[in-house]
Amino acid sequence: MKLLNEKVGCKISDMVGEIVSRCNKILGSNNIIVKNSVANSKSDACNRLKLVLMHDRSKLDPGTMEKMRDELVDVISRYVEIDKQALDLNLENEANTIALIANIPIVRTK
Amino acid sequence: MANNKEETQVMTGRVIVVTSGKGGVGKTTSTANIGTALAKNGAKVALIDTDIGLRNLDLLMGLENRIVYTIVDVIEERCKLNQALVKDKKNPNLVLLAAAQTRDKTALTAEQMKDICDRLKEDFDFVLVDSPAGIEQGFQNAIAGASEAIIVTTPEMSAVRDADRIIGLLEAKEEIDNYKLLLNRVRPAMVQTNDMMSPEDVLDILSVKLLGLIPEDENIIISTNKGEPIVNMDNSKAGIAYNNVARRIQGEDVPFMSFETPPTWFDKVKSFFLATASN
Repeated sequence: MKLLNEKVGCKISDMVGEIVSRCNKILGSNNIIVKNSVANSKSDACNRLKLVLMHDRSKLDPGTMEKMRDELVDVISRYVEIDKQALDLNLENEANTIALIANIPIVRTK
Repeated sequence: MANNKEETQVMTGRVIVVTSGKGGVGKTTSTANIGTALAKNGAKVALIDTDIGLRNLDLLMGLENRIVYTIVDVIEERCKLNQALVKDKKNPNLVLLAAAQTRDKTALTAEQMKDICDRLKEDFDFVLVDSPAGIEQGFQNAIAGASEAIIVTTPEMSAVRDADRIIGLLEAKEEIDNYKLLLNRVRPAMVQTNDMMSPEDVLDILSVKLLGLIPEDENIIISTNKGEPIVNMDNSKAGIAYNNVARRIQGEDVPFMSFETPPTWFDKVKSFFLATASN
């Protein structure tokens, strides 16, 4: 297909392009297919960067997070029974400040 | 501005460090071009290469055959500061203080660097300091005498991450009261297909102000080959963008280049075929 494309002359490609754009307008769904087929690697980059920068900025590496998580579990377990597997500890960026967000499901109070 | 410089009054020029953390993002190219553009606009400009042991600014300026003394010779008092300033081929308002090639970063201390910057800003409107990559001694030396910084990055994850680190270090340094981002090697076509972070994405992630956008431009390679900064070449996109950056530094309000180019017919045909092929 690509080879074929490159062989297409300027005028023919203009014409085909015109047809394509008209088809796209008529078949609205075609637009969706085109958009979906385009790999959106940018959002991967943005999301991964945001996460890694939060760790960089807070100087909290995954190992420290893990240690903190374990110690949190110990402390809280003294008072309430919690679901250790479901405990969720994350860094979040809110209006230029980094917050440590913990979601700790309580099984029952002791 | 430069025309009435006959009276010998002491100037207080601006010392601006060009830095990035990551290597290869275009610090030296940016220093050469912004400096040349500022000088073309009539300012007196001194460029300092602080990448001791890995100097390259002389190459980009096409001055490699004229270097007699380096910054280390000045520090070690083998020559006067003026003797080590190499005049640009075209513009007598533009000079280069080269780095020593046969020494390393330890040949210079931050205090010595600050002293050189302080002396140069008495005679020049702008002192542009080209920083080495990294955040060690070389970087610390480069920022020592500066009160402003240009952070060069590209829309790639590693470069943005390193820029963030640099911003953190610059923020911790009181003397730096102004820093802005120069986003280099932007590929508008890839930004449009969402395969490259857009300038807005990068600014949002770094929460920093924008100084300029430089599009990816093959002419940069040609300009490097020739030792002729791209701002001296006519009609190159990167050259125009660098010129705009210089004008912004001089206080002019220049709108940012728009990369919004409508897709060509070829792009449309290609995406049509790609869509049909993936069905």
